[in-house]
Amino acid sequence: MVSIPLPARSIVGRPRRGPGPLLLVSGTLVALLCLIPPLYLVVRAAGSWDTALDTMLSGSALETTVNTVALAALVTAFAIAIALPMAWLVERSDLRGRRAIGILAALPLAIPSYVGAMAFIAAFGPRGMLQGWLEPLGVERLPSIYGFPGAVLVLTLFTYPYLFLTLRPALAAADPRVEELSRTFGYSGWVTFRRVVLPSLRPALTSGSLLVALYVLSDFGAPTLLRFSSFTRVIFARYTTAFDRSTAAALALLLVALALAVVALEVWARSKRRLDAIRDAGRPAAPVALGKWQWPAYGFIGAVLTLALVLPLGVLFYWLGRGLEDGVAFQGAGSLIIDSVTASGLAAAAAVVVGLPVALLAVRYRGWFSRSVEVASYTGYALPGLVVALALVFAAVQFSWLYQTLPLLVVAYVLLFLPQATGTMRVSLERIRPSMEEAARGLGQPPWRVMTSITLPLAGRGMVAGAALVFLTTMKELPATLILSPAGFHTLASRTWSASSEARFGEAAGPALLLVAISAVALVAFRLGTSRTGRPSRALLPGPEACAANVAPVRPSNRD
Amino acid sequence: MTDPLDRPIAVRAAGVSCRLGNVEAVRDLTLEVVAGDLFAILGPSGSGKTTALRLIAGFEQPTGGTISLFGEEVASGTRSLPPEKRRVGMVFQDYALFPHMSVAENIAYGLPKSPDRAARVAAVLDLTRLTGMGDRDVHELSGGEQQRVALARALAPEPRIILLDEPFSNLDQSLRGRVRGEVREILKRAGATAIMVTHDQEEALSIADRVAFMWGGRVEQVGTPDEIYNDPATVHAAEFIGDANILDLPVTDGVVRLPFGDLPAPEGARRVTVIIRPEDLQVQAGGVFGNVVSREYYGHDQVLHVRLEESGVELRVRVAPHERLGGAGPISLGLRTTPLVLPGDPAAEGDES
Repeated sequence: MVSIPLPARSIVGRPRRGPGPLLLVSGTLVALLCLIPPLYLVVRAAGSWDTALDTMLSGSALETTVNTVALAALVTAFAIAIALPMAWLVERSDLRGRRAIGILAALPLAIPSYVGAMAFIAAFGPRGMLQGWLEPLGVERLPSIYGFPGAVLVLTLFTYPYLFLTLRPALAAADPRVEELSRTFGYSGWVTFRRVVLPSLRPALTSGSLLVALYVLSDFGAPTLLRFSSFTRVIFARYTTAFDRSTAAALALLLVALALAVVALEVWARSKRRLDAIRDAGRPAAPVALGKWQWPAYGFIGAVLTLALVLPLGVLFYWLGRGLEDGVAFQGAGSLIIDSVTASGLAAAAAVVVGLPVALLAVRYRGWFSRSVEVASYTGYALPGLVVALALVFAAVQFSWLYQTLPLLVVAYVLLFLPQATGTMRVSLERIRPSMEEAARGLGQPPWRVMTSITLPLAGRGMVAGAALVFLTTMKELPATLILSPAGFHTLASRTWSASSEARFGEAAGPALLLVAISAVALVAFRLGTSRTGRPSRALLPGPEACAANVAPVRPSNRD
Repeated sequence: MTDPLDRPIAVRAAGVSCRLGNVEAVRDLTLEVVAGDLFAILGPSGSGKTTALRLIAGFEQPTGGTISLFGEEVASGTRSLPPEKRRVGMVFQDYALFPHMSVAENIAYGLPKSPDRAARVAAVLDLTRLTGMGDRDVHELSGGEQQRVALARALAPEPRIILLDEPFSNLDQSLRGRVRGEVREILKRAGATAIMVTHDQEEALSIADRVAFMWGGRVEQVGTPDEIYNDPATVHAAEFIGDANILDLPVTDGVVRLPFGDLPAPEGARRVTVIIRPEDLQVQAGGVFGNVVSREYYGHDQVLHVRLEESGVELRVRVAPHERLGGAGPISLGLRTTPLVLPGDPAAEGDES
């Protein structure tokens, strides 16, 4: 018999057996695949160890580290400051139009941060639209959009939806009875929120913050366009200009260490609170009446949506108009779309297939093996796309027939976005009680039939949602696309980048808007896909709360 | 055990043990279940009863001993037939209905694809009084209906044995009595052999043909409900099943001295445990005097706490609901039957588990 990891306790508290050989093998393979990029980094850095060490200990490396940490920390803090009140208003208040606000507030997710950065530069940069309008009034200098403040602003505006989407189901699933109980002890609504609601949101806050922080660490487009020297910009500069891959690898290793620290922080924070038995919140909480507070609430929402949606779209449409005038707006759009959809669709399908064993292990067989596979699956997500791409370029040196092929590009995407697929699948797998599968076994079905007739159909929605999420993020992916695309393969993202980095905004606006539109459609479909049964729509994003929110228990009632 | 009707043995467990993680969940389990019986495994939580059921179903593998179904060995320390090959039907505590299937699809799940499939589903729906509900979504059903679907699904492939894990614990108290009767009737009409696990003594005693009492991973007693109740083999059984006054007393000159008179002690015992059910005591003239300390009134009867005058021993006495006792001085108590005397002292036995 295969050696079995420690038996873990399932939700019902009964010790369970270890995973079968199929899961053990596929889990190991996935983990190994995910470990290729960090291995490459180590090999590269170790190849010229002295240079690597000098690089890592240099003052500029320290400065880059400080820059990157400050950027990630501040963006996460501001994203919480936006997402938490926004999610609360949508889920818990009586604000009119909160359904629409709930959809609009998630939409900035469809705007890639580099498109946002481009829009902000076009609007507020030197010789940008705003200055053009103000010049006649004698304003000659605006505060610079470049550098730290600009990077924080842009990244916050386009990453807060990750937190918003994880917090919403958590707020919706919170048992109102707990809050009522707190009120009976004489605590005010505010104290109750701070002492009861907020702690119960902690898992959602941690997993949402993880998404945001890792996004910021990995993001290449916005810091580079906004000329802020976080790790990705520095590494790309080293890679492209100096042709010195070992210093790039050494810096990338530092970045990986940083990302791992963030993941470790999240794992630690999550382990402090076990997922409770799936509870049934019964009835939703009564909405809080805002009264005159609704006006500041509208003001807040209006400001966020103006900056994160209206402004970038307005700028894009303005430049689209200019591009149409010049006849460059939609050059080769058809093939751009085909290439984009092909790559993203393949990546989405592959991520679901590769992610399934990871999700199954995480849900069913908690233990060191599953934990290791899960952590390994996060590495690509934590690594900047740039680094994953470089790693695969290196790997392709050994297998030259792979270099600049579509399969290699898809592998890069899977490595980058795997946790998005596993996260959503975990949520839906957690809905499947082990007794359902045992019942199927008891009814004479072999394990593989149980998988195809019970587990997969029930996990189906999670798989669709996971695929949609991966599709959405892949459409926007930039650095791996730039480095690994086959010759002549141009996606909407790479065209947007190449045009906007040369300030040809009229050419960039068309593909950028298409990108936004496709992403928005995917986003809406993804959210609709989670509410097919007519139950209230709740995002299927990673995190135990999303799980709690998506349970559809066959619950006993007393109607007979 | 010989069966008067000469029915075959459906389940035979011999010396079965099972270790889960670091817990010896089941130790030396030996059981025989006669075909056609409704057999209950009764015990407190953590007594190993659910593990015993899962061993029979094949969801757990024994670390020692053998399990046979109708003479076919399905599990031993070295080999275990997977659950899908055992032809055993299982009804789970949470019913485990497949939420993406209708009632009929749930029931048909375990049936081979054949032209008779629909007919069999209809027959089982009839049997479980779910006629006409085949197209329902399982979410639309009440708790009792969900449970009958789970039972119907388990019965449909005509398994050799039906296993029920705490089948009534998800039901409202008010529903349980009725549903229990229904389930027994369905099982009997299907001619099924069934093993039910429960921690509810009333449940086990009221519907089972035979009951096994488990404690600390072991079977302490197997018998008919009245044997288990009237003649508990161990102090645990006496305490867990029903209500009991338990007296730990020394043995002198081969006898135990009770306020009601002397009883012979088992051979060689130095201390004994005397078990007196509250209903085995009665108010009678010429008995032992005691004062009523407090009273629990249940409606169908009442339980008096009586402190005996001479010995100071406090006993629980069950009397009819209309008796008004206790206000006017001491009452006089006697025994209806000879109490049970078991060797050893309950505290020492309790330590072992």
